[in-house]
Amino acid sequence: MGNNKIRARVLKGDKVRFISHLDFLNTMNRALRRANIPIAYSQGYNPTPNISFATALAVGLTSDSEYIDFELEEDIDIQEFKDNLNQVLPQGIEILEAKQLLSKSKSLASLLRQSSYFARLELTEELSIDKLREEVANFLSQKELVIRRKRRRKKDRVFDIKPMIYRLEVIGVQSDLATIEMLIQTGSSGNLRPEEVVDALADYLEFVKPAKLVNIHRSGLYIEDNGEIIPPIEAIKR
Amino acid sequence: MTIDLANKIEEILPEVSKPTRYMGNELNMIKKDLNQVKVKFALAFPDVYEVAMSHLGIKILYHLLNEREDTVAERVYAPWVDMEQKMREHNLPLFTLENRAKVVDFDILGFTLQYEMSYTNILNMLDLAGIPLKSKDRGEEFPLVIVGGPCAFNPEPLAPFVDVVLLGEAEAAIGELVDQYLVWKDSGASKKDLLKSLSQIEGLYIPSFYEIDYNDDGEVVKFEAKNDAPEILKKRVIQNLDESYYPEKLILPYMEIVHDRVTLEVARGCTRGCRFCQAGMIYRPVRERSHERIKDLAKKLIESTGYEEISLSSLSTSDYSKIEDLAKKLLEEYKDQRVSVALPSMRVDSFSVDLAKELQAVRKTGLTFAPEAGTQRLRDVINKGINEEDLLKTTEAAFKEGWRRVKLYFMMGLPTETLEDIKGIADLAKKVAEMGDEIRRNSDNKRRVKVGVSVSTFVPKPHTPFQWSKFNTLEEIKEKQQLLRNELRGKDLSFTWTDPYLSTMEAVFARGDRRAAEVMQRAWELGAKFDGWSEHFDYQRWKQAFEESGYNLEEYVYRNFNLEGRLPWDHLEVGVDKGYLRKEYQKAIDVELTPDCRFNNCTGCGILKNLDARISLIGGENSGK
Repeated sequence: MGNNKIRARVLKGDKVRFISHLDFLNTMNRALRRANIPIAYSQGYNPTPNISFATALAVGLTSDSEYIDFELEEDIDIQEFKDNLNQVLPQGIEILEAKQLLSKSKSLASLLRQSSYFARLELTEELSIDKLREEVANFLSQKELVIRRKRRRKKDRVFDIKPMIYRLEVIGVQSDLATIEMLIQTGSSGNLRPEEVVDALADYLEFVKPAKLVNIHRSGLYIEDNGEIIPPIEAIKR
Repeated sequence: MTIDLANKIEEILPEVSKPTRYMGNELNMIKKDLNQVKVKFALAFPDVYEVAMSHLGIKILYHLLNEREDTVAERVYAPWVDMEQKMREHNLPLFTLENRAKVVDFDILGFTLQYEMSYTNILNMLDLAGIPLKSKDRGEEFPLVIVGGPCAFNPEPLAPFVDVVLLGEAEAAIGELVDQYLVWKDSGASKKDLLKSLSQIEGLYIPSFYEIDYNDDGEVVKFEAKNDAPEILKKRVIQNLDESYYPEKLILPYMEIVHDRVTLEVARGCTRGCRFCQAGMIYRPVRERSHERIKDLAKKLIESTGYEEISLSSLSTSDYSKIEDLAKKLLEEYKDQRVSVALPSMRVDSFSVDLAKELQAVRKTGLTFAPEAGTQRLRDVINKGINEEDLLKTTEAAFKEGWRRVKLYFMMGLPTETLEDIKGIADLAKKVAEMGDEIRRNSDNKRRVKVGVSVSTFVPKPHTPFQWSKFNTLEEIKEKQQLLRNELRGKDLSFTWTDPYLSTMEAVFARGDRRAAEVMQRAWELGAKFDGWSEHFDYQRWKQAFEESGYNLEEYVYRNFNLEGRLPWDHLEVGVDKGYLRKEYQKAIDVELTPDCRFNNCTGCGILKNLDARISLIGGENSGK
């Protein structure tokens, strides 16, 4: 067997925003069978297709940056892979980009460091973009941004998220809706959720309503590659 | 307006559990322009999505109806309680999954009756749709409410709520129903005219055209057909199953459903003649699909869904002609695509451990057998036709091949049953467990065996030889369950049982008559819904509903059915003669077996003569081609 790994950037759109990570995985597996893609299977007791996600997306969010690595049994033309799969995928799921993985790379999940999101803020009053920018700057200039995360059957975790926010910008305001973009820490060494950032903002600014998951869109994932932080699809060129 | 409703639904979805249940838009869903069709048919299942989507009958009807250019079929299932609450809060009516259109705007609303304890969900769904519960309160402006499915062979408890009952296999009659509906719709005649014309189609029963009254024992003392409706109603059957419609695409759900695989129906009907089994009586005669057709369907269904498993389903799949041949060929064909083949409903006497080994090449998930009763005497009473030796031989072979989990299904409360028979359940289970443990100790696989014993409470069903049998009292059921709890202790044994109160309510409705309708409506008003789900079932609510309606629940459920009297469902014919059922009941009391007519002589049930039908065992014939 050669090195037949394909890395793809996948859209999870509006129509499938409520399907769980497991549903998404099953949907992909069945699409691979419909498209006759020679996916490799794991060894052992209960063989499963060798496909691995960078990370799970919370139910309710949309994303244009779900990254999946596929391991194939035999070589397949990359365009054919993309076209054949897109032809059978249900509405709302689409392979946006696919590239051959040349080197024996580490798992996507282990390299994941950051992710970016667009979030729509619902405001209780109309205000100007400059005013909102000023308030967000004030929010970020606090010494600490401590939040409380509830955990199932465990004590709440209270921690400072300030070092986990790399960028938080106001993109636009239209009457009582605003759009922000954020780049935050993601992965095994520290994981911040976008709704936690919005909720922290809502706690600080009384005119911002609490987060709704359907108002958040994942726009990028970033991995560490030779000390550099890059989108996973770019790691392939080297 | 529809767009408005769709948007409002979208807004509440993030606030409910498992929003995928209400999303629709699955692969292979059929969505038509509702303005481009003449008949809008809502196919309803009175339970939650995961259960509803696992039901084969609705899948067949959905695709069959949508083949018609003049018709659209859309799905609607019972919203779970959290979704219902949100819908009521926001004043959103019951909607279909495809177009998110109001159910009340459909022409025909068809419910499938699979389980008595989902009846209150039907009332709840009608109410959520804004449709009056009672047939007499619904004019032409409301959908025609029809029901079908196995429980439709005694639809009397639902009589006031439904307009039409379809008896038998819906594929055989649904086209005629839609055609007649179209004629009526263009004519502008009254709803009564529609019902009159439908009553002339074989297999369609209009409950409101019959006046029926009962004595305290539940015997029919008055039966009057009005409007020229037939006195006897015969079920419809597909004459040639091999050539009958079967979908080549199935909707692929996003979320995991109860039966999450390609369901391929290989045969209909069963000739074994177990005396407790309603399916064995109402789905006669036995008809098989050919190997050729099944292989062709398997190919198309795997191609259109990408499913990883095909289940060859029927009432008794091990009886299907040359089943090993078929299973092995399918297994071979799909090996490279990693599609597995499952055979549910296998009998211990015709089960092949070798075949099971091939089917579960790596994963030995567990085997299930149904001896049904604990002693040979009682197994003969119910005409199960298997013996202890069969079971021990089969389980022995399975343990030796490395299986460690075996599940055994039994029933309690069967006619003539004594505590000896109940103890027999425990004895048999212990024998299996001890044998398994010995095999384990002498093998390399040291994992302990697990024998799961599942004992449900027998509920007498209409149109079976046991339709006259007395249902056990709550005290009797509890005593028997306690005996088993005491007996079935041990490292390798586990015991599960059914809620006696739930079984009691099943018994109420299985053999219920029109008087039960009022009780049902009262219970629903008191909050009954999802009664089949233990977290929602409340016996006290039902007791109260009975009292308030002027009946006594216990008296009703334990009423004695007279062998000679007219039963509440006697006007509905499944094709098996009542005389045959009576004879079988007598044979049961006399502990006499009736052989399977597949391998022996005709047992005289009357099905072929009554329905002008044929047995068709063609599964074996075409396999060599």
